[in-house]
Amino acid sequence: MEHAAHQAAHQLGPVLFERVSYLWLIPLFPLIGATINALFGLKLQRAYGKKVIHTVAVAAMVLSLLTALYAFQQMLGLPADHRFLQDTRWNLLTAGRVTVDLGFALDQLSMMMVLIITFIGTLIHVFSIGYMADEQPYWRFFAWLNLFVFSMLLLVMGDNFAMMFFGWEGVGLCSYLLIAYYYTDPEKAAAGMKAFVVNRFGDFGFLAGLLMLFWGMGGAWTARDDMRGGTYVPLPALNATAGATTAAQSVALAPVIDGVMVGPTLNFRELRDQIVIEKTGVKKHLQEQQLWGFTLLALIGVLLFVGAMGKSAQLPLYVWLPDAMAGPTPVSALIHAATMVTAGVYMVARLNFLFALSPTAMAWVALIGTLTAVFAASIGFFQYDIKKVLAYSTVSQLGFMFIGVGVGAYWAGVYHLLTHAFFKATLFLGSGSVILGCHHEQDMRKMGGLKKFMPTTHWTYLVACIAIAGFPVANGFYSKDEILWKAFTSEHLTLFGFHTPWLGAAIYLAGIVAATGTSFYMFRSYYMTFTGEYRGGQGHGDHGHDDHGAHAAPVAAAHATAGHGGHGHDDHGHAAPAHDDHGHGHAVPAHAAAHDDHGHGGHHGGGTPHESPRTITWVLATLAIGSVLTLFLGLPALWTHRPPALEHWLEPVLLAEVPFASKPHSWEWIFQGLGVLAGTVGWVFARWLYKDGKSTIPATLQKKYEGAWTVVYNKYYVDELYDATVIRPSVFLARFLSWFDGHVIDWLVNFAGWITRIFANIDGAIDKYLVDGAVNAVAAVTIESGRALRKVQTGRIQTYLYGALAGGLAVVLLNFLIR
Amino acid sequence: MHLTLTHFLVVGALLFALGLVTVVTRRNAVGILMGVELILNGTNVNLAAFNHYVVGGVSGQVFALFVIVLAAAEAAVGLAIVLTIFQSFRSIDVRLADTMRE
Repeated sequence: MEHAAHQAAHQLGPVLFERVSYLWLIPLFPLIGATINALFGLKLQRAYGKKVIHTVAVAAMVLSLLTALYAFQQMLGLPADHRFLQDTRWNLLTAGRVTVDLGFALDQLSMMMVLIITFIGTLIHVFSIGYMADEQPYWRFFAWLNLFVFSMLLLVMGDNFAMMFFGWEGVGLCSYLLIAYYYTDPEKAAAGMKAFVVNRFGDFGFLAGLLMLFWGMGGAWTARDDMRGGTYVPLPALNATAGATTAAQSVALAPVIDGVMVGPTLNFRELRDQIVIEKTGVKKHLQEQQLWGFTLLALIGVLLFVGAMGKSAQLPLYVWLPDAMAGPTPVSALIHAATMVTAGVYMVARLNFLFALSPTAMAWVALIGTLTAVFAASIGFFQYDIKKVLAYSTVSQLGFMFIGVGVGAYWAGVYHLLTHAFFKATLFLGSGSVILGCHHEQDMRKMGGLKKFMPTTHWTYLVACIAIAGFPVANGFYSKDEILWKAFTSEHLTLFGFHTPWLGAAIYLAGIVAATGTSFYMFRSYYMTFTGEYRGGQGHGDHGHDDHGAHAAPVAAAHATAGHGGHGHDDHGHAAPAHDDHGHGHAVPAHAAAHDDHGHGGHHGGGTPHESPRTITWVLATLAIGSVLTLFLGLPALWTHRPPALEHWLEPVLLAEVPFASKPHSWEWIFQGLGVLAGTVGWVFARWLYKDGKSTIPATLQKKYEGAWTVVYNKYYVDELYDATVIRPSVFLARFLSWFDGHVIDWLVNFAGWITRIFANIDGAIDKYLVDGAVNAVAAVTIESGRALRKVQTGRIQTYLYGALAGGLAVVLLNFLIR
Repeated sequence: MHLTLTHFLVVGALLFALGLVTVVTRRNAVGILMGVELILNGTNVNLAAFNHYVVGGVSGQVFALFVIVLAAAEAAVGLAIVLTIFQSFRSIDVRLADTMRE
């Protein structure tokens, strides 16, 4: 509460910004890279090999990273309240109050995002060199990956909603393209479409919220005495910009209060200034507005959050993300873990000043985040596909971020975004390395013992596991702990118009359960993959996509079939040294059921796993080290008596002041201890159940709770639920409409056509017989009379003379007669 | 016997009638032209006679002189036409020059 008092004391002014002219280069480089590879990639690859392709792509990323670092360095040189770089290129569109500039802005928040995107993006590009080496459409992959980075940079750097939305849609497109990278496989192509369609739902919410905000701001233009400190501004003057056709005109006509242009705007900086500076009255106006019985701000907040739900895979729109694992693993790491899916978190953090005005919207954000965190974590418990585990883990971690930004601990949510980018990228790339090493095997039941074969992958994966599980030696602890602590102390949240101070504690409880679960499933994946004995025999077939409802216990189902020599064809050409090494010492015939019938038709010939190339291991090592080092950005104030470095850095941006209860320091220590305890509990359980793959307890437990296990294993049948509630009805509706179209509409159209034809026939008859008849009759008469009269013209002078004489005589005779 | 106007008019009418008959009946183009000359001369007689007996002065004679000049011009044009007819049809029979009828 003391915060509030403190806040009232120091008034915020408009953002002070520095104009620069090079920010547009940051997204430009990846765009150039993408253009080159997309247009000439195929030819370049054929002519000069794959080296050119990845050189172009990686060079684009490195240049972009260097430009971003330059901007960072310039920003560091500025005073803390002046760190806002603005680069307005040109005006894209002006229509009345809508002014859209091609403008880029970097403040502390977007700077952080740009550094994450370019740094991790560069690393993942490098990783892809090794990972994608065997793929033929190499150029396509790199073109799209570069295009993705371009879109993502637009999303975070755009200084207005329109640019952000452009990037927002761009990343969605690239996500679709990259998920469906192996588009010849219908299942993977369908996964791409699923991601795209589900994101559409979210985008609808985003757009609706944005338009509602724009509309709501418009009301602030009407003259109200109480809002303008008694200065009355006549209505025509306020509405003047409605007729503006150029940006300059619009700016010139906009009313200015206290140096701040007031009115609907798409520009983040202008929006922030208007809302933050009380004198403009915009904040008051927005808070007072109601729509359909709801507070307008709550509606805007919830609708914008629906957009975040789609992009950041929150309940109930998370379903696309696990399926998105159909894309190549670097894509999963870059797009579906480190950057794109965090766009929703970024958006909420960017609009913190707006969300903070509506405790209802914030409560919903936090609540949905909590539910997602717990729900996704529980699905992660029993998945066997290593990438699926990580996918649900991502969904769960995104839930944590939304808890952070939802309860008002914006910096903590953003910090979790950063730490997650590091450790989840490490985990995903580690899993990619494992998959590559195991010859495109994703089923953890067929891994095991990889510690020996892949040392670098092993230790990086372990570091990332420690980070995500929340042990203080790596970054994940600091962000997660801060989020949960802030959640516990938050007491301003409101649900359905009721003040709910207990919600914070409830979120904390659910969060700590989810954290325990996180630790459990991550270490489960670690133990299943890296410890014990290698279970992937040679020539195995089952690709891990089988829908074994319950036929297989996690361990006992290892299809260890050492006797099945390498007759699976290895069409990917890994130069595994021990490729056809039959009967080597590591192949373990071991466990119970050796399913002979699975030994045939395998995708890939087995062989011992092997460590990945250096482009992969170095990237893994860099990211793992980053996962540890970034902990220094968030050392809690409790330890250092200073605000965490990142909080301090982000303070000018995340200015929304949300009240938190102040609790004694001892409580904070206890809660930190609880966080570590949660991680330890998860780890101990995972170690007990899955270490070395020896324990039979998981199988026993699974048998005992068959029903529950099946439900969770099948992801609570959410996909089936969607199938029943959304897809089937839509398909049925589509079928019905098709039938309606085919029968009713077509019949009506045909009937109309038939009527028309009859009328046309009648009309044609009239035309043919009546009109044409008259015309022809005239012609016939003319012809006949002409033919008759032509006879008179004999061509003989004498004949004519006779005529003339006869005429003359007739005249003379008449002369006599008449007289 | 005293010459009166009537005598002259009868001579003129005879000349006119003879010319007309010639023009109407002849097949020979030159003959037709000659008929035309007769008609014109019949007129000339009338002009001179009327001038002498009715009007006085010389205007009738002058008129007749104009007619003579005109007849000469007419004969020249007419003969030219006859020549072309001859060139086309190897004959000056006017009945042949009817190719433009239907």
